[in-house]
Parts: sequence; structure tokens; C-alpha cells
Amino acid sequence: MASSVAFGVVAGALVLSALAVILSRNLVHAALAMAAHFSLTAALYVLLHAPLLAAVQLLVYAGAIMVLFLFAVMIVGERDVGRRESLAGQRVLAVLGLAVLGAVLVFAVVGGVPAAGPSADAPPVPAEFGSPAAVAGALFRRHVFPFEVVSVLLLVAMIGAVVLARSRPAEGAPAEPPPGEEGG
Amino acid sequence: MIPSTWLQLLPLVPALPLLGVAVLVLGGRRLPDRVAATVAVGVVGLAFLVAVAVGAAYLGPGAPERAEAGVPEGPTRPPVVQRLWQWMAVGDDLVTVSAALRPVAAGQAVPAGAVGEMWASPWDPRVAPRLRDMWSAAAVPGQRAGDAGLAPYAIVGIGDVAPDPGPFVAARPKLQHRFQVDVALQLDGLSLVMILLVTGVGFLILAYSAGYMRGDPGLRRFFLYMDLFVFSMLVLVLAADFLVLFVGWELVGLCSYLLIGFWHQDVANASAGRKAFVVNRVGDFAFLLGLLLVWTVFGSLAFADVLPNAGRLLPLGGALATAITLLLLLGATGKSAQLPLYVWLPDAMAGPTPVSALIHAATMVTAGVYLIARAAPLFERAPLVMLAIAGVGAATALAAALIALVQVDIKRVLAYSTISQLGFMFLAVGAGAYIAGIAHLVVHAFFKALLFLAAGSVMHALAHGYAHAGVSPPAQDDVPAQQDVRRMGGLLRRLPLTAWTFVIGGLALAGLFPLAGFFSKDEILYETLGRGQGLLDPWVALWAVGMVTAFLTALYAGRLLLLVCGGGPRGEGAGRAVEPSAVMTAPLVALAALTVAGGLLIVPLAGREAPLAALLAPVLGQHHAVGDPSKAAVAVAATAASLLGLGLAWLAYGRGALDPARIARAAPWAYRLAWRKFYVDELYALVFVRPFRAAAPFLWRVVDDRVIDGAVNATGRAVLAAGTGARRLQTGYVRSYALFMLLGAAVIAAYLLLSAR
Amino acid sequence: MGVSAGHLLALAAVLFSIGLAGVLLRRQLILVLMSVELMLNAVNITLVTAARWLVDIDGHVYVFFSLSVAAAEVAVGLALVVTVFRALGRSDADDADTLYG
Repeated sequence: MASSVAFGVVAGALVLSALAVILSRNLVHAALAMAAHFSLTAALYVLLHAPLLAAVQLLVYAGAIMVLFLFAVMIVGERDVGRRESLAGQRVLAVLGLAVLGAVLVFAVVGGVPAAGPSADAPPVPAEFGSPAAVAGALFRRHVFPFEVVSVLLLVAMIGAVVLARSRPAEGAPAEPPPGEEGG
Repeated sequence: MIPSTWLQLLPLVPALPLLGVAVLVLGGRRLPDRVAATVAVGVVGLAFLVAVAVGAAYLGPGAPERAEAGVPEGPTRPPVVQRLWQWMAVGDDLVTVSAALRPVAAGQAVPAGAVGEMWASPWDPRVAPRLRDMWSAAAVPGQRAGDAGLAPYAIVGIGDVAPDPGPFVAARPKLQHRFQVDVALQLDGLSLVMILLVTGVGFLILAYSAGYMRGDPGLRRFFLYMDLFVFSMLVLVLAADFLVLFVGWELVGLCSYLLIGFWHQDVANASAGRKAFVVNRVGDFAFLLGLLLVWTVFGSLAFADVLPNAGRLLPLGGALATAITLLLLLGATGKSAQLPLYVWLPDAMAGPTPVSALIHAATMVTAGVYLIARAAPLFERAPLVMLAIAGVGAATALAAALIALVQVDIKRVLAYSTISQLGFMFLAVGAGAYIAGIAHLVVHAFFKALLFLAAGSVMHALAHGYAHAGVSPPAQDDVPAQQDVRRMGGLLRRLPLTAWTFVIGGLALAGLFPLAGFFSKDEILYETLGRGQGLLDPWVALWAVGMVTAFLTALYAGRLLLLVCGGGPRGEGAGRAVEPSAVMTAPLVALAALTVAGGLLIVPLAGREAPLAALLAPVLGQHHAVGDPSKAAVAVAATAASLLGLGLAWLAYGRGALDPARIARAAPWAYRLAWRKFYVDELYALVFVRPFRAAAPFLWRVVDDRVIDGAVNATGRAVLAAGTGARRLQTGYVRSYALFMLLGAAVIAAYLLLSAR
Repeated sequence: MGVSAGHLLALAAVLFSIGLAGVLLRRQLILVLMSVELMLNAVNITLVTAARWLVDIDGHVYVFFSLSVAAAEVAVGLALVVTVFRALGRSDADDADTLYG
């Protein structure tokens, strides 16, 4: 009973914060809404017996990623580009497509989730489910290879970000950035 | 002993001219003129010799070999058919049988009233086994004996007497064949006569043209076309199937077009060739329709299937028989230059004279007569059409003779004379006197070829004469100087050999005894009169027309001879004319000899049957005489007509006792009618040519440009428009593309969802 | 209790759609990236739900990976946005308009 209320509250807040993100005219407001969204997701994970993930979510999403966004906003400025839709039919068609997709997804989910059943209650879980030990056990045993690959991926992303943020954006600029900094 | 294995040489007869064509085509411009001429003439000569050999094998004794080859002795000599290869085969064999089968005792007549009909394959189990046992090969219309897989059946028709052993069942026999056309050659009396004629006279004419065409830059092309023509004509007369005959028919039309327009640098010649081809085409179209009708009745186009069964399957005087024969007649009038499709022949004189001699006198134009004679069993089933044939022939003969009387171009006179004589042949076959018609065809070929070749020599001599005199006089009334009879004369003394052969030919044309022309014409008139009884019978009227035409023929023939040969030279060219070379005079002599002796072919002598009649009777023997006029009386009347005509000509043109100019002035309308060829050409121009000329621009601008091109262009424009429209999806904006991805994904997701349910 | 997998998955679907709407309808580049993050987050929720109902810890492992990749992608993406801003003085999605043909 209590968890359903909790779930309901968290779910509603998640939706509201997501809407806040996409509807804000001010980037900082959007960032704040997003931070809230991620935090609420962490709360949801707790409800779903995923404590480690909740912690990691807070650390990575609500922490690192939000910081990144805020730095970018610092550089770019918080104002929106424009309210007028420049492309003909974009809004109408987007709404239409989204409606169809949303309906499809919901119907698929409601109608066809097998085995567990959409209305089935959650099965019991062992106490250690979702704990760091359990996750680590799976991660470093069965999924060690993708784990290593992801680390390489992160390295590549780092280098890429550094390179991109450094080089001067001239037409047909050479790979070698010119010496000397101009303010940026 | 003439081995009847020589019969196997039959395909060589058309193959040799074809070989000549191949040599001339492949040799190309490298071939010197002499070689080309020798090859072309030589192959036809060889073909003639082979034809003689084959004929001897067909006719002659040599009993053991004949029995071997299956050729029996005696007057009924069935045709020898040599199947070369199968051209096409379509469909399946089916047989119609009665659905209700009633047993009939042996010896009883088979009653009418076989109930219902059904189609079945001969191997269909619904066909009662007993019925199958009783169908015999010989009686089934069109069935080929010994066809593999088609077991022998016995047919009993309604009204027939039931044979032993009974009981059996009544059936309405009708076999639908799969449609099969074999390329096969048929040798019988009729085709033998024709191939001998075509190769023999063809050889003489080709030999002559070696001299006539000397120096012409297109000599090789000329001989190529001539050999091709000889090949085509041989295919036509040797065909054992209507369709193969039609192939030859079309080919000779093509060669005629090519040869008429031989000197095509002059537009008039090309136009004449085109006119011939187009007019022929009208007839060919009718011919083809007739063939289609033949197929619907007989299921086949082979002579062996159609001709013996004509009596069985075509009700006498019925609509089908009339339609078929009428269409075939129309085709024949096109090829043989009769009413209403004769207008191309006078224009065809634009071609070289040997062409006129071979194609438009001796052979191609006779194809129509040959067709009617060959398809006689079909025509016999439509008496009305036979009367029409005779009527057309007689009318054409009369009209053409009238026109010939006033022409001043020597070739035109001969052209209209040919039309007129062909009319006589049509009269003959229309009256059922096939043998007489073919006989006239043969002798006419002799003397008309002779006349044309001699005319060619005369024209040649006159042209040289003008050249020697250093003058080139202009054409009067569209007639070139060397062809104008008003400027000829006195040639009997200057070109004796040529002129005397010309005279022989002319007298034969007039029907003077004992030249060949007399016998055949007399026979025709006799048979025509014999068909009728009483003064009001149409046949008697036709005979009268024939008599008048015979008189007119003699008249214009005499006029021609006297103007050309008699008196003194009326022109520079005539004054300086000299006899041409031996190459050109020898064939004339040969043809003259044939003309004189031709009568021997027709007249029964010393108790034996006439050779021509003996040959043709097994194929064509029919006798329709109802009344019984006296043969002698008819002969006397015919001779009287000829003499009257010749005499009148002598008076007018020889003696000068009658002035033709005065007669012309006395009845100017009559003269003008004849001079203008009864305005037929003008009539056709008005009725046919003008509407076509008016319709053509409409069809061009509206139908072709706007409708057809418009549709094609519209398709192109539609594609372009679609492309332009589709291109608008390429906005370049990333957000648009994201939207499109969403839309696509939504559609696919919806589809998957719905199909999973 | 009454919270079923269906509810959670429906929630994830809704969040995903909201994120998608943001991608399609906003022109500010950083906002578009934020919307992408929303979509990824929704997928993570789906994975965790599946792990919970199927009692399989591998779901959490997948979330780890998804999370890592999302972080990497955000870093690079924001670097790109900054680069674009430096070149053009603004970060408007409609400036990327040369993908013709």
C-alpha cells in the first residue's frame, strides 16, 4: 500500500519534471528540472530493489552529467533560440507521430507483456538482489568483456571531447590546432 | 528408262534461281557484268532442264521404278507431293462425336438425328471404343493417313449404308486438326505446265535481257531481282499449300515492285512501282481473308485437305462458298490486272521491257488464273461467283481492247492487250473451261513475251537511230520518242528479223489460224457459248462480248503491226534503225517458233489427245456444256471476227482508205473516253487517293503527335513531377529527418502490433 | 500493492515519448541533448523493471553500460555544441541544414 502511493508520487513527479525539461524557455530551469528528474529516478530504483543503481544514478547522472550540462549552459548562455517553429508541418506531424507511437507503446505494454503479466504482482526477490555484491558478481564474471570495452569507449570519448573543445572551428581547419590561444 | 528417282530433283527447280540470287548477292559489286548475267541466265536455263527431267520422270514409262515411287500409270495421275519441312503446327487434334449413340443394324441406312455433339480427343475415354474402331483414315476429311498416334477410324455419315459388321453408331464426322502448315512441293499436270512455262520463257527473256540491259549500271541488281522473281513464281506454282502459295504470291508482288521501279532515279518509275504494290496489296488482303475463311471450314490450308473435300464441306451456292471464292477472286483480280484492280499494269510499263515481258505478260499476271484453276473445286461450289469471274473477265477484256485501240505508246498497247487477254482467261475459267484457260495462258505467254521483246528491240533500234542522227526529240503526250508508234514505220525493211517475229506475234494475238492464239481463243469461245442455252442466257451474252472483243483484238493488233512495221519510216529514229545483236534476236526467233507451233499443244491430232489437255485433264477436267453448239460454226465465227478486224485495220492503216483521224473527230467523246482510259485512274484518285491524302496529315498531327507522343511525354512529365515532389522531403534540416524517422518507426510499430494481434 | 510491470513500463513509455517530443520540437541544441538523456533514462527504467520482475541481475548490468555510454555521449555531444557555438555564435539546430540529397 505504501509503496504504491510512493510509486504513484514518484511517477507523477517524474512526468512533471520531464515536461518541465522540454517546455522550459530558460536552459538553467531545464537543467534544474533535469536534476530533479534524475534524482526521482534514483528514488524509483530504490523502490525497485536496485540500491546500487540508485547510488550510481545519483553520482553519474545527477552529479557528473548535470555538471557537464551546466558548464555548457555557462558557455552558451541560458536563453532559448526562438519560439517560432521554422519547419512547416513539424509540430503537427510530430504530435501525430508521437501520439501513434505512444499509443502503440502503451498498448503493447498493457496488452502483451508475457510471463510476468502486466497486472501480476512483483515476485519475491532475495534480500541480496540489487546489492553491490550481486551486481559485481554478474558484472565481473559474465560481462567482463563488455566492461573492458566500455572503459575503452570512455577513454575515446574523453579524448574526443578534449580535442573538440580545443580546436579552432575554421573551415577546412587542419587537424593540428594553431599555437596560441584565443579566448573562448 | 527414265528413272523416277529424278522426281526427287523437284526441289532443285526453285532452288536453282535462289542459288543465282545468293551468288549475285554475295558476289556484290565485285562481279563483272558478264559473269552476273551468265550466272543469272544459266541457273534459269538449268532449272528448265531439271523441270523437263522431272516432267519426263512424272509422265514417262519406266514401270518398275514408277511402281516403286508409287506413281501409277494411266490417265488418272495423282499428284506427287514432296514434303520439305514443317513450317508451323499449332493446337491439338479434336474430334466431334455424337453424344447419344444409337445402334444401327448392318445393311440399314444410317438415319438422321444424331443427337448433340461433343468435342473429344480421339483418345478420350468418353469416345466409345467401338466408335473408335470404326473410323477409317480414308474418309476423315483432312486427316492424313498414317499420322503417328491417330489410330484408323471408320466414319459413317448420315444417310450412308451401314457396313459390316454391325451394329455400330452414327456420328457426324468433323475432325478439328491442329493447324499445321508444311512447306511441300506438288507436282501434277498443272504445276508441271507452269514450271516449264516459267523456266522456259523465263530463260529466253533473261537471255534477251543480257543484251538489252548491257551497259546499264544496275545490271547485277536487275538479274538479282529477276532470279528472285523466277524463284518466287516457282514457289507459287509448286506450292502444295495455300499459305505457301501466298508466300510466293507476295514475293512476286515484291519483285514486281522492285523491277517496275528499277530506274528509280526517275520519280515516276518509283511511283509506278508503288502503285503496283499498293493495288496488289488490296487484292492480297482479300486473298488473306479468303484463306482465313478456308481455314475455318477445312481446318487446314493444304491442297490435299481442302480441294478433295470441297464438295463435302461447302454447300453448293451457300454463303460460305460464295464469300470464300469472292475474296479469292478479288485477290486474283489484283494480281492479274482485272477489273477493278488493273490500274497498276499500264503504269508498270515504266520498268525495263524484259520485266514487262516476263512479269506482266507471261508469268506474274497469270498467277490469278492459276489460282482459280488450282482452287477450281472451291469455285465449283459457288456458281454465282463463277459467273462473276466470267463477267469480270469479259468486261475487262472489252474495255481494255477499246483502250488499246487508241494508244500511241507501243508498250501501253501491249499492256492493255495483256489485260484484255487475261480477261479472256478469266472468261474461260469462269465458264469452267479450265483447260482452255490454261492453254490460252500458255500460248499468250509465248506470243505476248514475243511481242514485248520485239517491241523492246524496236525501241532499242529507234533510240540508236536517234543517237546516230544526233537528235533527241521530245516526248509527245508523255510518250518518249522511241516508243511512239506515230514515229515508227517501215521497220519491216530495216529490221527484218525483229519485225517478222513481231508480225507473227501480232497475228497470233489477233487469233489467226493456224497460229497458236487461234486455237485457244476458239476453245474459250466455244466453251462459253456451250454453257448457255437460249438467246437470253447470260453465257450467250458473254460469248457475244467475247466475239466483239476478238474483233477488236484483231483490229488493234493489225493497227499496231501496220503502224510499226508497214509503210515508210515516219521519224528519224525509224529511218536509221538497225537490227540488234544476236543475243536479242535469237530469243525472238525461239518464241516465234513456239508461237507458230503452239497450236500443236492444244489440238488433238491423229486420234491422240492434245498434249496439254492430257496433262491437265487429271487435274482440271470439267465439262459444263449445257447446250451443244457446233464446234465448226464457232470456229468459223471466230475466224470471221479476226479477219474482219484485220481487214478493217488494213483498210485504215495500210491502204489509207479509212482515215482514223476522221473517225476520231466524228465521235470525239468516244475517242476521248478511250484515250483517257475511261477515267478510271481519275476516279480512283478521287475516291481513294484524295481521302487518304487528306487523312494522313490529320493522323500525323493529331493522333501521332498529340495522342501518342502526348501520352509518352505526359508519362515523362509525371515522373519528373513526382521527382520534384519527392525532392521536397530533402529539407536538409536534421529535425525534419528525425521526424521522418519517427513517422517511419511509428508506422512499423503499429504494423507489428496489429499483425501480432 | 497493485503496482505491476505494466504500470512501470507505461511510465517508461511516457517518459520516452516526452523526451522524443523534446528532440523534435525544440531548436536549442543543449535542450535537445537533455531530451536525449531523458529518453535514455526511460530505457534504463525499463531495464530495471525487467530485472525486478524477472529476478535477473543482468538487467542492472545493462543499465550500468547504458549509463556509461550516456555519460560518454553527453561529454562528446556537449563538446560539439560548444564548438558549434564558437563558430556560429548560437546553438540552433536549424543551422545544420546542408544534408541535402
